[in-house]
Amino acid sequence: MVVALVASVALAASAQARAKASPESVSDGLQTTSATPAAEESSDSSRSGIKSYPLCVVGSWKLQKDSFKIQFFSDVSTRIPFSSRGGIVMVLRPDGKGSATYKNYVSTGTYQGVGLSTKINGSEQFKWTATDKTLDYKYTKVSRTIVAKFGSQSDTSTDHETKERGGYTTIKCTGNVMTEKYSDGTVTWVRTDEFGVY
Amino acid sequence: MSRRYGRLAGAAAVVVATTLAPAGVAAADTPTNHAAAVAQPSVVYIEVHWRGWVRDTKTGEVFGGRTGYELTTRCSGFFAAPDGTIVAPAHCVDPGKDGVLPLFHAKVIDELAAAGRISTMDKGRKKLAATTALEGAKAKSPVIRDIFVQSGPAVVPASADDAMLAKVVSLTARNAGDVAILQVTEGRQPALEVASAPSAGTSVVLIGYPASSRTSSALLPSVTEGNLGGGIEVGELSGGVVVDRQGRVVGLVGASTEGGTTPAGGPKLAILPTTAITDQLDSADVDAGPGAADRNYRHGLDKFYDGYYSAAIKYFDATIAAIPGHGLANEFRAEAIDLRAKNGDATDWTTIGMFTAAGLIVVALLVWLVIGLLRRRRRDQEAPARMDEPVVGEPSGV
Repeated sequence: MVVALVASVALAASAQARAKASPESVSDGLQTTSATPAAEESSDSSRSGIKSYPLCVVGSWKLQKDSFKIQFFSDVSTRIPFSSRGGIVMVLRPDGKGSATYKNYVSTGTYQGVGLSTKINGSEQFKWTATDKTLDYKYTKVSRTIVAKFGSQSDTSTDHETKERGGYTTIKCTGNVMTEKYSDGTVTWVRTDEFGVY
Repeated sequence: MSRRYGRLAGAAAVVVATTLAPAGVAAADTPTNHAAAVAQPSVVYIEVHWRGWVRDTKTGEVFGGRTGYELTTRCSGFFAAPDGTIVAPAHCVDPGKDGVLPLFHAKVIDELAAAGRISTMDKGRKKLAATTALEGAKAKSPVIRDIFVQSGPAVVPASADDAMLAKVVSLTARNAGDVAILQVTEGRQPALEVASAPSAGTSVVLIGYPASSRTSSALLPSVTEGNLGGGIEVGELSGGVVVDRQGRVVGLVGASTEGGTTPAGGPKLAILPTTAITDQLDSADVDAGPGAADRNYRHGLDKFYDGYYSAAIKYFDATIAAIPGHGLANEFRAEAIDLRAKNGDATDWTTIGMFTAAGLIVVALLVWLVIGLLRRRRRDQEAPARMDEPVVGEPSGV
């Protein structure tokens, strides 16, 4: 009787071994999980509405110096050289809006040995576009008070004219310095960290 | 995904002097070879292509131009379930501050610095982090992220022609675990088991794809031997998979909990514990672990290394039927056919012994039964007549 029991166990083990020697059938239930990604899959899409401008131009600029020629007298057509230092802060925003604030902006020149000067306070608002080499702007709002002096004489005027005003300058912007050139003058700006600096 | 392993090229670029693929008699059944052969088909190369724009939420300025900034992150990972569930380090796929966001910021800072708009790098990084958002092609849309997954020899750079596309199911950020669950949906995949509590000093094998940006038509994973608990160098194998000698996952190379970054901007790496992996799998409700095809493959490997090529081929056939793209199963099968033709199958002394023993036992049982029957018959013939039977003899006298 003992012998018979051992034999049945051995045969059972053998059958189990044979069963194990066969590959399992593959019936995994494949599942997919819906993703909730914090990013999207996409391919060839570009961002529309991006304004094209050189990064250097955006920011807050303080007038370092400028030199220009203007017709100072209404009855004298001669364009007289003037120069100035400081007194204007210009901000060029990335949305294409700009502003300039005049605070005791004084320009000086001479005519026939007599000193000339202008002092401007006020502000301008404008829209601008730029490339690496040009800056275009168009005023949307101007509010300036101009005091002009010729010797001991002086004249005060206000300037609210915006119609048809604007300009085109060639620029060179390298880091913290931007130079504008136009037909009658040159302006040098230095960057401040008031806007656009990280 | 129609690549095929080159002849014997399923072998990893082995750091230690071993080969994974069956190279004739050179395919010694060392613990490293065996563990790597089990695990390697489940180890994947992940390449993430990012495209995004950085928008200053205060000024509205958008950095990145019309086409945006492009970045690529690379790491390894592994299939944790036959349904295509992948475990990978989160920092590889995370668009947030613990992922690629600092890399996008670095690109912005480079541009701003060139334009004179950075005061100091440190201030710049902090201000960008505080005031900007990473976006896709539309304002407030998610950054564009394409996750390409490849197993076996990988094509670099990846594309949809050669790779599967994955989605992120869930992730725990770099500083809180650094594990992400990804999902591909291209049929059954070879999956690994995650060991519960590996002990320090366990002999392990680290398998992972190098984070190389060099173009390659067949980037292979490296295989490194070592010991768990400081006895293995993780290098820059982000997402490298650490397996024990049974091919079970005992760790994943992810961001070190000590923090810090590498010169390339990535996190310093360390081996993440399996609890971080299992927690993430559980939270994503993943039915993790190998499937029948994986068990067939492992049986096939066992048979192959024992020299039972016919049996191995049978198991590899079953594996390939379930997972046609199983590169190593195909390679081992081809080699098993060659070796069987050359050497024949090994003699299965265990099975032979078992059947012989069973046969002997059956014979012994029959002999015992026959002897018993004969003895019984003899006893019956020699037994005296019973007393109640009528006696036939001489009549009594009168």
